[in-house]
Amino acid sequence: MSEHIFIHFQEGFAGDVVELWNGPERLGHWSLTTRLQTGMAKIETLDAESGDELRFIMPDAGLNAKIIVPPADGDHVFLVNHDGQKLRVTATEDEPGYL
Amino acid sequence: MPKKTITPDASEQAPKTELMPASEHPDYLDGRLDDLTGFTPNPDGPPLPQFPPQPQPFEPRLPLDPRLPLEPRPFPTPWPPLNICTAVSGRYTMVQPVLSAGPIPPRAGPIVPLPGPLLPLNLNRMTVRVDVDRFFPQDRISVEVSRLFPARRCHVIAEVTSDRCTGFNRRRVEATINYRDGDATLFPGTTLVFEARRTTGTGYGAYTLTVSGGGAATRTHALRFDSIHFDPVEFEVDRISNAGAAVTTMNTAAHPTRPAGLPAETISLATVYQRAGFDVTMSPGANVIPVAAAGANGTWSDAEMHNAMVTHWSRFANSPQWAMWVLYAARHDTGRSLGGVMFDDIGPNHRQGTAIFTDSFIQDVPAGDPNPAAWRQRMTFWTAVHEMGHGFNLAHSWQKALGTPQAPGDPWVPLANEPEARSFMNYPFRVSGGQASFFADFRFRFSDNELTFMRHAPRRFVQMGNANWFVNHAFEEPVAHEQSGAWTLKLRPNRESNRFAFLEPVKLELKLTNSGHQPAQVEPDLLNDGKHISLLIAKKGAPARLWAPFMTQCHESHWKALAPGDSIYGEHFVGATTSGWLIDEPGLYTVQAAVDMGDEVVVSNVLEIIVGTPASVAEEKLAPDWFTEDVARVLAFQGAPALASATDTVREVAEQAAGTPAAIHAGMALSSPMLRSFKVIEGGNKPELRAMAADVEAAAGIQSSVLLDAPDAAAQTMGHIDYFASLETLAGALKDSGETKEAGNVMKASVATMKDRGVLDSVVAKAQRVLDRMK
Repeated sequence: MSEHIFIHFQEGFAGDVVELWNGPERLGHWSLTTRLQTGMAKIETLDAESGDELRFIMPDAGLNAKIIVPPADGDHVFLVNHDGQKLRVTATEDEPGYL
Repeated sequence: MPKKTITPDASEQAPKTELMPASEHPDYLDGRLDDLTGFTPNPDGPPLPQFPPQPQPFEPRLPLDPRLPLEPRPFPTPWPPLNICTAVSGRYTMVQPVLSAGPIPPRAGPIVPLPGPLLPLNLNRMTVRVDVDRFFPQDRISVEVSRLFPARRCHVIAEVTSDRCTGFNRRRVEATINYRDGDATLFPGTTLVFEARRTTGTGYGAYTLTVSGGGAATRTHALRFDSIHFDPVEFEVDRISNAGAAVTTMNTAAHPTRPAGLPAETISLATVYQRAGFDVTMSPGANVIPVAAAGANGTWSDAEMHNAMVTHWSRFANSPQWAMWVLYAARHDTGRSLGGVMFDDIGPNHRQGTAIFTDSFIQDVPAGDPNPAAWRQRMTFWTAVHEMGHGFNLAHSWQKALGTPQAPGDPWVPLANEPEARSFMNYPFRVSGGQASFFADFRFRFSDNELTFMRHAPRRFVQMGNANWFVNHAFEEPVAHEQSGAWTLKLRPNRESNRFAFLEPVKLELKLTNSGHQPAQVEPDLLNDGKHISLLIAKKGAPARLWAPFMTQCHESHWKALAPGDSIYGEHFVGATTSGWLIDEPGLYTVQAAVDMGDEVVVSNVLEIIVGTPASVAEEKLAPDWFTEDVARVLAFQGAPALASATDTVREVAEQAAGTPAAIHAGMALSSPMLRSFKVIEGGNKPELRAMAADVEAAAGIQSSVLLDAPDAAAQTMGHIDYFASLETLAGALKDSGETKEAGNVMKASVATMKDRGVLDSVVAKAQRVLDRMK
């Protein structure tokens, strides 16, 4: 069953390219810059199946992170942050807000 | 029939409250109470007020009871006498010396003094911000110094090390400078002492700032109290027609989740920023903007908001100003997840506009909240203050340390992140324990670091429309001058030594060089048109005086590419200005120039020149008539026959001081009008235009002698640009009058002198072409 995925690219991006892969398929790639007054770079929406393994790759930095789409009744929200050393992807049940 | 649930408005639930007077507020310090003897409180006496929390390890201070008498009153024994000092925090400016407009006393010597322009004796401006009491004191003194000319500035921040009340309204605050920005030489020293004292009456009447330490001479500046606030700011709150009412006030007691000791009061956006130190004015020009301005989709992009700001904000200007536009709109293009944004990082002047989105997650009350209406009102109010904080260049609490080569800015001073700060700049839902934990300990204030920045950082970092967003969101490295380094301006005499003769009209050369690595566009007339150059001239021990040219030239704007290392040149008679002579006595003078390049003012080296003593009794006798404004004009315009008396004086100098540099200038001024038909207006009430016939032969006789008998001496005192231009003018006049051979001889001499004096090849080649055309 196809799930609705919301990906929030948040802190730590400064003109960085991030690719999103689902198995052999590249779902998207973006050049991201965090807008400092909100702490958010971009919100992407896409569809995936429960059990899919999503891989986020920063090819220039040699970083990657993965997350498996869990089964859920509602939409999925994934937060993606870059702290300079690591790329982190976390799932949250709360819709993030920015100010 | 289903029962309709009505949520009461927050203001209906909370007790009606007014704004608490500052003097009653627990976060407000009214001043100081110090005892003289290190007393021990009398256990039988009245209880002492409690110390408010202090951020610094100072001696603790007592908040003054607002009911304290204005006059000191003896406390009943065994209380020792107390020293009472009311609040001193606020903005002060240096008292400027006032010049007498009366007659100037005669100076010794033969020179008749001329009244100079009424320039302020002290070209420095100083603003002092003292921050030791009132709301949320940060125990800082900051000083802004700027010099009118040459354009220089310095900003220091000092941390308070001692604050004492030594008598009834006698306050002494000592501080150590720990931050500098700009030209340190403008404000040397390491220690500041601010003193406020009573003179007559009960309040303070005199304020001083003494600067010492670091090997600099101790200086005391008299100050004038300007304001209890540090800077003024104006907010205009506009709203979109579908955004609902703009929430600009809130009752701090409306929601039960709050600090126990937080006073119940109704605060406004203005209250928050007043307590942060600003003199807030709310613009009366608030607008309701039709929703159609949001475009077809009904939501707002940053560009649409920027356009709305330009259209609807009555104060909009593409320049820095202490003013901000606050827009309440329904929703941003981003969607419900964006509650507000300082959208104005577009264009050259950032941070002027912010927006709050009323149809966003900031309306989403946590499940089970005891007062949803109050929660919404508080969150909307909080969001407005937060976004406006970005307008003051405040970063989020967890971004304080942010600064990487990739990021657009670095902190102004090294700062640690404050992820748990109970500040308007933190996200309530980001702290440990979430928003309930945040608001349980939130006192509707900014953090100490943020207040220090807003009150004391160089104002360009904070002022809206000035430094770009997030650039110096906390400070920059000190720089000696605000100079890009792309240009170098050299001020020099056209001679090996810096010595000028008595009576000699001082001329100086300017050389502007492209010091960058790329070709740059420059106006070729920049140094000569009189519109872009300023000079300051000071005789040793005397105040500096501003030089202005006798004429400015208006010309069509044109540009020339200047390769790296290439230069343009200019030359000016700086010894006199439109109000008289600036260099008229023997002695040491310092001169500095600045050129306005449009986007920056490039400052020259400081040049010292020495003017010699009179070489003869005749020179002494000539000086009083020579150093007059009219003679200066005759020299500046190379002749002014209408100024008959001055022209006579010039003739006297040409004859009686023959062979001196002054005589060379005099000879040129006397002869130049004769090279052409010279028009004069005569006739008083019935003016008539009359043309004086040219006398090229007579003029050529004088000028050939002046310019060619001793070419090096003439080129040295006239300067290369004027000297060789004069030769070309003379040659042209001779050629026009049929003296082609003589004209050629003048140009041959010009080319030879140029080569001897090492003039640029391009200039020599140009003169050679003029010579070739005369053959």
